[in-house]
Amino acid sequence: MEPDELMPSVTWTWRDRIGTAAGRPDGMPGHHALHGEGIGCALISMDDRSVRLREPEGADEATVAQWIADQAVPRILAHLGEFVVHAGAVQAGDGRVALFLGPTGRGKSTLTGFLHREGWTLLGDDAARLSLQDGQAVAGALYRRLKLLPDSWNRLFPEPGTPPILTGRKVSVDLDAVLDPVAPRPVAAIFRIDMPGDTREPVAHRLSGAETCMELVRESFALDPTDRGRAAHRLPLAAAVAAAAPGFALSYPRDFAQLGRVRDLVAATLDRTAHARLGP
Amino acid sequence: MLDRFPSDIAPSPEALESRVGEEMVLLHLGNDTYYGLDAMGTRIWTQLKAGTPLPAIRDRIAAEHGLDARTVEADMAPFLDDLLKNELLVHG
Repeated sequence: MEPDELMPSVTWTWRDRIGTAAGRPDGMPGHHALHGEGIGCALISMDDRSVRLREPEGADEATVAQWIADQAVPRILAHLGEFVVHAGAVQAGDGRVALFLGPTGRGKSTLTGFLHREGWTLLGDDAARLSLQDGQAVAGALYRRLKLLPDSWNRLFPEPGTPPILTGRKVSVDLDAVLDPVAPRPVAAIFRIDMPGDTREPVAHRLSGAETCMELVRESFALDPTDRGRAAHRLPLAAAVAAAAPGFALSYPRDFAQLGRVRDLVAATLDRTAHARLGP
Repeated sequence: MLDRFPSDIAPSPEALESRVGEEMVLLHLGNDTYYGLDAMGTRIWTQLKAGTPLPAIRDRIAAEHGLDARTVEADMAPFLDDLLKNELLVHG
């Protein structure tokens, strides 16, 4: 990452719910631009796999590095053909992986952090790389990281001196370094985290395959979301993953005291999916 | 009820499809619309792609499911309206 005052003008073509914008730098084929709120404009070259940043908009270096890890790297990997979705991923003791899909603020990190505290293995709290291996949907995370608001962190990890193993590792913009993921593991179920609404207790409703596919596409990363060819590439990947792993809509009260019941529901759902595969 | 649909409607060339079991997800590349089809919608879409006329699709489904043709039409019409609204069906 290098500060660069000589940024070209950019034609912005897309903006997401949290203010990330994507566009094309004028007159620079092979390049893309991303803009993050409070971060600035990043110029991405697919030729030399570099990210150059204009004078940051007040963000410190750690924040910028985190933004690159959260927003730029998943999109670059997606541009290179991977299927990367905005999801938390945890692995139960028997190896089954649960994915939690949802936009920022829906509770992925809190739930994955809670499950990690309860002995499940955290693969990641924000992005998962999905693919198929021998007909089985598998997930790998980009990096083990848990990013929580202070209140959630203190509720989940109140013990003083909690080892900072989850606060993230240093993330490089060197793709060859980033391309060292957690090994892909089999996905047992995909949960869409819904808004709690009037839910008084945790509930999980089965999604159809088409609904699961559309959720995966909706939460997938893209460097240029207007790129038709790559959209066409993502659709069959999402469909294949949705056909291989059942989807559920998960709703629960946003109350820390209820997270144990959410854990039980997720575990029971994973059990049912396992039995469904083994049964007649 | 199907009479109000032009006989030349057909899947848009901008529509991509992907199977998920018996269901299907459509993507319109022009307007970035994703559209999920249940098993029956998938059956109708598949026959539309094969160029089967709407009355013939209706009659096949009615025969296969032991339904009255008008009942099938009543279900097909809003589905076709939705596909047209999302430009997944266009005038051939």
